[in-house]
Amino acid sequence: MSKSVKVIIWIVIVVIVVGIVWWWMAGNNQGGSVSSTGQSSSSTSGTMTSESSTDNTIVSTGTSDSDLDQDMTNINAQMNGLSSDSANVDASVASSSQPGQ
Amino acid sequence: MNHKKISSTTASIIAGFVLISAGAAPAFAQTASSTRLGGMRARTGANASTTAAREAQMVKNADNQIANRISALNALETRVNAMQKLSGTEKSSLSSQIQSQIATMTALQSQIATDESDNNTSSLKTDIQSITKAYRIYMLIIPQGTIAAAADRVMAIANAMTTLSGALQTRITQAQSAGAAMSASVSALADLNTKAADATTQAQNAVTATASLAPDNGSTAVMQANTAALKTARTDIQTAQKDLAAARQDAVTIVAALKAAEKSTTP
Repeated sequence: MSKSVKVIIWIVIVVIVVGIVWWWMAGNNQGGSVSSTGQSSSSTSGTMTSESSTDNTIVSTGTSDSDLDQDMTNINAQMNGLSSDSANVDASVASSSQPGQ
Repeated sequence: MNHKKISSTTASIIAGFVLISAGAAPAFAQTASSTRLGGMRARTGANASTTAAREAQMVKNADNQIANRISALNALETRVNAMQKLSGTEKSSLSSQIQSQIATMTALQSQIATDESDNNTSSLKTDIQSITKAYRIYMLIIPQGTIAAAADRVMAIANAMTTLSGALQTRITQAQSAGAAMSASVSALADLNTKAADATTQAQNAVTATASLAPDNGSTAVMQANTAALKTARTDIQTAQKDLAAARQDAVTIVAALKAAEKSTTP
């Protein structure tokens, strides 16, 4: 038997073994594949901010410089919260466009 | 003579082989058959074991999926309860929808456990698939909630901007009375009011467009309509966010002008 024939035989054996292993693993994982799509979205909900807007304390009715500065600081904080809320909207709407959700 | 002996000896040997083979054949066949049966039984046992392991994995994944959804729904419920600007009806509708979904998910989890203990494979698969196909928590309920939460915050900020606008108007009038040129601030204040009002409108549009959406239950047309409504609402929220960013910039401009005017008019 020539050397090249031996090499071909070994390649065929390796391919068959890999194929059997792949088939076996696919069989074991098949049950889990049904549910895999739903898992990916858990982070979307997990990042949802629970901090609420409380406009009663966002701004004062004062007109002094310090009042205005404090009002601007509070509004900036709420704007940051809105950025987070908006990002949650983007993520959840993007997630809703995927099948299997 | 010798030829005859050789021929008869050869014939005897061949006949012997034939007889032995004939006698041994059933035994060989039985052995082969029992080996095959043993192999089939082993394969059947292995298949049953594989199926059981697969089902156990399916149930485990389903439990995780349901737990993730219930956790997300609870977080959403907390957020809804903390909303300030949405109407009581809107909050109540969202809250009851969330509670209903949590109850449904909990019941489904029990049903899946029952399917597994009853070894009801077809029901198990159907129930597991229904987590994603029938209830649409990530596809509809969570996006609805996030849109409502963002809209609520937009309305709160816009309301705060309107309150701030009153304070800024007072200061602008005082500065004008002191002789400062405040026309740029007057324009900025008008823009701030316009942007705050538009942000409120956009936020309300987003809530109105999504509040009454219902799960598609497999209808492609309803699913497409839901997706379109959610995307439109997202655009509304983005527009509102830009409005408020512009309004904030107006406020920054006005506050800076007021401080500069104060310095210039103070003796």
